[in-house]
Amino acid sequence: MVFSSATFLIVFLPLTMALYYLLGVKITKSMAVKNLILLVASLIFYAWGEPVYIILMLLSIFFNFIVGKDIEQAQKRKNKKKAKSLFIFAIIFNIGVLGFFKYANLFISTFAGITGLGLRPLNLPLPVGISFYTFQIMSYIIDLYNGNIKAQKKLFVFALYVSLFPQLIAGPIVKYKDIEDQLMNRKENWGSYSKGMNRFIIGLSKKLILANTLGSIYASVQAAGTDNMSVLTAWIGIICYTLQIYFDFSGYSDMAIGLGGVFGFEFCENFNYPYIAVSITDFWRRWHMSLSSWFRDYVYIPLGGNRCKVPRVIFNLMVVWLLTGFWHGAAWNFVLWGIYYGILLILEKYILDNLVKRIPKILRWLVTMICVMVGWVLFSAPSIGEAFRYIGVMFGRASAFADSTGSFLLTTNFALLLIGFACALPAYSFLIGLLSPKKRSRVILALTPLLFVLCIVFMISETYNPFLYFRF
Amino acid sequence: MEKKKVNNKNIKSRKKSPKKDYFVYECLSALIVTVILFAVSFLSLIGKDREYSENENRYLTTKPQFSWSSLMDGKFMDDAEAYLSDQFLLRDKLVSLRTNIDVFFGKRDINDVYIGKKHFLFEKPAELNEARLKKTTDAMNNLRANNQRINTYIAIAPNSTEIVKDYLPSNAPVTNQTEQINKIYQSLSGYTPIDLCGPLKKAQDPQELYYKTDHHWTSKAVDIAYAEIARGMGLDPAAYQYQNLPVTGSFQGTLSSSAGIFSAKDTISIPTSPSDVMYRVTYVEEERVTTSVFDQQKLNTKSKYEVFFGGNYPEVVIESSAPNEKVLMVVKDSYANSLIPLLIPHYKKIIVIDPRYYNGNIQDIIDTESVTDMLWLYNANTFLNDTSIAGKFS
Repeated sequence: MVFSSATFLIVFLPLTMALYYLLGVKITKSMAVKNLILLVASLIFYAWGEPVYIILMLLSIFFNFIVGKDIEQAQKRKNKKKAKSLFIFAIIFNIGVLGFFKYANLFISTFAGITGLGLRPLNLPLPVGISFYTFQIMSYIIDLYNGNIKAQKKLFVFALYVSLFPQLIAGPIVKYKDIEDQLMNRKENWGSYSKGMNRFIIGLSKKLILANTLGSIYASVQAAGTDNMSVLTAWIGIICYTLQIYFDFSGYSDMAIGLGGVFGFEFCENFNYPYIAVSITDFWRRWHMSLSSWFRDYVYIPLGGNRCKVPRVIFNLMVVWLLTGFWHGAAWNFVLWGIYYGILLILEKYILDNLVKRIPKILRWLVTMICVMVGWVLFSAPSIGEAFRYIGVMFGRASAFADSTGSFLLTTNFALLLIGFACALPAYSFLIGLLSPKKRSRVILALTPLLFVLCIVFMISETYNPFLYFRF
Repeated sequence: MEKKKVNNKNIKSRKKSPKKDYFVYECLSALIVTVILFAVSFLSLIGKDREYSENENRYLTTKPQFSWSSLMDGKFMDDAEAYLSDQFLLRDKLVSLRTNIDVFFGKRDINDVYIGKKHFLFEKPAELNEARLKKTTDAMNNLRANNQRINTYIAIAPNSTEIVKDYLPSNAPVTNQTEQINKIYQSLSGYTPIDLCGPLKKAQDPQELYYKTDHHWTSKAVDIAYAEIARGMGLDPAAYQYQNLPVTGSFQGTLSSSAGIFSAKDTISIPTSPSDVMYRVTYVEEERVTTSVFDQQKLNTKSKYEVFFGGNYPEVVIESSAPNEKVLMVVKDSYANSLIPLLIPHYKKIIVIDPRYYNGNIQDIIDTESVTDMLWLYNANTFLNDTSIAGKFS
């Protein structure tokens, strides 16, 4: 199930909220009941989209719950060897499951392509959210092994941590240590509820009103192919995608954080206006922060981080970015995208450092954004070859600078692009800061309900599907 | 310490600090959102289901039937989602609100329809695909080569984007259909081309030549095309004096449906029947005979253009009392449906073939019916996208 679906908004969310607050908060006032309601809701939420793969998630939960307990026990008995082997076993299991379900197809087809063997890919559909919940589970196992946390004693609480529906399928990747306490003790209150509800609507609007609309523009640009594409069209296309992916992803995070708030949780932030970044390093401090921090804590720092000699740091960085690229999807262009950022970050760190400081900020921002957009071409193109052709068109390898397709796209989507810019850059916060505090309050009172109604309008109208048998 | 804090808070709240004020409004707006959420949910669940959507011209999804197999393969979930959104409160209103918002913010193309000026909607023009066109024209040239004695004509009508240019949204990318049509004509050998672009472009009120809400041409365009075709085929237009009579003023066609814009209505007119010629129409595969090329019933449906012949059929034969021995075969798309009635008095027999639906052997018909003339009548978009001619004639 996704948040922007009719099933979620009309049935699932109201039902879950009503049960949670009536049965859990008002009648029984019991944490166990509240958690149980959330767990059942979360499992239904997952099973709704993945009726078969829920078994995989449950297996993963059982396995890690038991191994987690065993690791703790081994450590208590000072049996370091056993703890270590259990730990390695758990990590191999988790990476193995992720690797098999996410990457087996890619490896088999690439291997078959290179060797010419007639191997058939497995064509397993990717279990939704597996990259997210596996990483959450691994944060639990690693922190447990390192002695940062205690093992969770109750299976259903651990299951709730892994499957908690607000952040289950698209993050943020919440580390167990950050949420351990909230799983057992949290107090729902008006503050977190209303903040959460407003945040949820902001996220829903980003997804339904902005991301989907912008996405359809990029899809049409991409579908037309690079053969007759003008420079203008290519730039409009990739700007739309740049905005789309931000609104889509950060919108989802907003919804997750918001829904978390509705049920009394406080999740970590995931985005901080990434498109005002003035360097690539800055960009990655603002984009998908929970993933970057996961890789920093569990890969980069264990490898030695930047407290080593330069070649080792470069190696560490490249490992992290290769993995980051790979994490985003089972295709070689994601790997290329990861390597691209690895190289950019190393360049920035060691070579361009002094130069960058002398350039005016606005120029640094512009260069950063161009690098980011080129990155998104690599990220979104159907193949690496197509990505390079698209980048070629952006930088002038085209039959024309502008054509009617480009100018039509620009004039008919100008307002949308402006709204997109205003929302991706902190223009809203700036504008609302100009208002008196009293007016500011009035704006929020009118804004979220209005946005919610608009979201419903956009969600329903997306499904408009005229049947045109009398077409010819 | 603790006490001091509380005191501070009290002072703040007495002053009605901006922060507190903001908090109150945040709670209020969250409350409104919650009320909307539950109200929408409640109304959706008690609302009465609609079976059919006139605007979308389809049956809406009804309550999904639960079964374990549909649950396991996810069909139940898909059906539930479709059911909830199909039966959503005020669905049609929301869709039209959405298109209004889109158009307000500058959008001028929705679902491959251009939103033109003065409520004029345009079908996005088709691109010329060289490989596809070659297959079509090869098949047509082949047919022509096997039937040397038949007088063969081709008339391809331009679409509204080529003729009603003033009403197009600014900058809308359109193809040059006159060029495309000339290219088609040049790829054909032995076909006498009839130019419709020139005369239609010269018309005084080009916006009258196409429906605002549908991709077809109007009777006014048909009048002009008829005159050209008659001239090209050596017919005497004076032999048939007719008038166009409006039969409906509430036509909202395919473009309205595609875009979800129902702001304008069109008028459909039909020509008066010839006074001195009787005819009968046979729908061959359907084994149905009528005495009129018009299907009045269709005026009560959404697809009112189907008043001409009741729509598209694989093979329709019109036999008339015209005093000659000429047999015409028309190979066509739906543009021809409104023009063929005007050809009736000129031929003893007209055999209308729509290759998209016809599956028999055309050469057999040509031979057994001793076809003397052949007219290919299409609009540019359909012809350029067509794959059935190559499929059926090669």
